[in-house]
Amino acid sequence: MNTQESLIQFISKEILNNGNQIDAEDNLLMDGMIDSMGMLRLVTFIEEEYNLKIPYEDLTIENFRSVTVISSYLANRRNGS
Amino acid sequence: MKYLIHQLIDTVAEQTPDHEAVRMYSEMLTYGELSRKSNSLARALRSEGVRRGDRVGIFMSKSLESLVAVYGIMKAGAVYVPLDHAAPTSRLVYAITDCGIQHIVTSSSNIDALHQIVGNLQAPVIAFGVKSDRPKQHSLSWEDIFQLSDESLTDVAVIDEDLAYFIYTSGSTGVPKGIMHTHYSGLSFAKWAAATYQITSADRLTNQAPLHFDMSIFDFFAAAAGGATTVIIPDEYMRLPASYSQLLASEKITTIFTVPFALSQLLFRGALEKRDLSALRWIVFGGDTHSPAHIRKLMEMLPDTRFSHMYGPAETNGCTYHNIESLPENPDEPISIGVPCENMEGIVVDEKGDLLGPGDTGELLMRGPTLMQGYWKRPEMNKRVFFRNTIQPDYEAVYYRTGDLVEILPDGQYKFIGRKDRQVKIRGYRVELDEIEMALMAHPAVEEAAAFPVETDNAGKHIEAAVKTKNTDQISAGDLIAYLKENLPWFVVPTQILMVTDFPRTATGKINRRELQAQSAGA
Repeated sequence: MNTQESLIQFISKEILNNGNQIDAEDNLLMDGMIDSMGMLRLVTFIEEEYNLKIPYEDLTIENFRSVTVISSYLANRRNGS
Repeated sequence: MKYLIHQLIDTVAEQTPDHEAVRMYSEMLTYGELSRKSNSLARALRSEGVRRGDRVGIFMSKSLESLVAVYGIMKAGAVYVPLDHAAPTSRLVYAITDCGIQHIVTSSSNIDALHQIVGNLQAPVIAFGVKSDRPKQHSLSWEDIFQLSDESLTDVAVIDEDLAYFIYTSGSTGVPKGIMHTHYSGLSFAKWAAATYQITSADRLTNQAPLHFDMSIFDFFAAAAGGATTVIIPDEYMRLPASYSQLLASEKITTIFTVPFALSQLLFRGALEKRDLSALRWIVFGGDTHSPAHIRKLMEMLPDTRFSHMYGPAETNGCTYHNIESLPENPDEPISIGVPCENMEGIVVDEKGDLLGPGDTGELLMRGPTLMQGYWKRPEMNKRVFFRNTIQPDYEAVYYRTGDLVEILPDGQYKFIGRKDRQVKIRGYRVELDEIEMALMAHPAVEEAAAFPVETDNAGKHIEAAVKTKNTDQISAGDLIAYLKENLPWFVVPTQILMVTDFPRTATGKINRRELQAQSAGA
C-alpha cells in the first residue's frame, strides 16, 4: 500500500468510522470530516507509521488540508528537505 | 439611545462607515456595508411576510453574509435562530417545526442540505441568499435582495423586550430546547463585555464559535458595542493550532474569547514561540472546565496578555467573571469563576432553597438583565428553572437556576465544583449523557447503554459508551455510531462504543459508570 492509500484507509476507517469514503483531494478540514481530536490521532498514526516526528510548526493547513498535500509533505520530509 | 442590538452597528455606521466590521479570509464588510446590506435583507424579509416576533432561521457556514443575516433579521423585527448545518436532519426538522420557522437565510454551499431538510417539513419555507432551481422552492438571491433599497426601515416597531435570538441546546430528555433572548438581554451582555474588556474601535476580536453557540454573542455584539472589528476564524484553522496562531499574529488580534480546549491546543501545538502576538490584550476563556497548569503555562508564555475566566450558561449570556491578577498558590487549584458581572446578582442555595454563605457549596442562581426570557414553549420547564423570590411586597426577584454547584470562597468568589445533573462539557459544547443513553436505547438491538466522559492528557475530554445488546444480534460498535450520527449532533456522538456482555454493577445492580470510566481512562 502506498502512502496515499494507507492514509485514506486510516482516515476512512479509524477516524470517520467508515462513515465517509474519501478521495485524496478532499478537504479533510471541512465540517463533518476530521475534528481536532481526529487530527491528533492522524498525526500520531503518521508519526508511528513513518517513524518521524512532525514539529508543531508543520501542522498547518498547507500541509494537512488533504491526503494529497500530506503525502507530498511526507515525501519532502523523507527527501530531507 | 441604543436599546436594540442592531442599533449597535447602525451607530458605528453613522460615525465611521468605512471602519471594518467583520473579516473572513481576505474579504470584509465595513460597518456602513453591513448596515446597508442588512437593511436590504430586512426589506426582503418584510416583503415576504416576516413580521415582528417571527422566527427566521440562519442555515449557513461561517461567512460574512451570516452577519448580514443576523442583523437583517433583527431589523425586520424578527428573531434569528441559528441552525447547526452539521446537525442531523431530524434535529433540524425538529427545531424548525418547534419554533415555526417559515423563512431561512442560507447560501449556495448549504442549499443541498437545506433541500433535504425542507423535503422533511410539513410547511414550505422561503429561502433567502440563494437562487434555487426547484420548482416548489420560493427563493430570493442576494442579487434580488441587494436590489432593494438599503435605507433603514422606519416602519418597523421593535421594543427592547422583543425577542432577538434563540439558541437551541440539548435537553436531557433528548429533545432540544430553544433559549429565548431579547434585545435587552443580548444588549445588556454586549455592553457589559465591551466595558469590562475596554473594547474600542482599535480592537480586533476573533470569532471561533459558530452562531448556534452562545460564545458568538460576545464575538459580534460586544465588538459592535465597542465599534471593533471581528475576524471570523474559518474552522480549518481551529483544527490546526499552528495555522490558528499564525492567523492571530497576521490579523493582529487583540481579544480572544474561546474555550479552554482551544487554549490548550494553542499551548501545545501552536508554535507560539515563533509567533508575534504582541497585539493580544485579552484572552477570555470559559464554557468548560480548564486545566490550571495549561493556563499557568500560557500566562507565562504571553506575559503582556491579560487573562479572564468567564462563566455563564447560554441562558444567561454570561454571568460571572474573574480577571486573573494572581494565580492560586496550589498549581493544581482551578481558577475561580470569580464574582457576578457588575449588572448581575448571584446567590448560592442548598437543596431546600436556603441561602448559603462563605465556605458552603450549593447551586448557583443568577438574576439580572442578561437572563433569557425562558425556553420556547416550555411552560413546565420555565417554572422549574426560574426561582422566584418576593423580596419586597411589590417586587418579585427572578433567578435562573444554573444547575451548577459552586463553593463560596472566603473572599466571596465562586469556585466551580460541578453539575447537579449529568451534563458534561466537551470542548465547550453541552452534552447530556442521559440523552446519549436514551438515543442508544432507542435502537431495537440495544438492551442497556451507559455513556460517560473520559479525560485524556492534553486533548481534553471525549465521550465513550458501553452497550449490551438484547441477544447476539450482529450489530457492531460502528453501526451504532453511524446510527447515533443520524440522530444526534456530532459533538455528542461517542468516539468509541464498547460492546459488553454485561456491565460492572453497583451493589444495587445499577450500571457502575464510574468503574467503566476508570477502565477506559486506564486503558
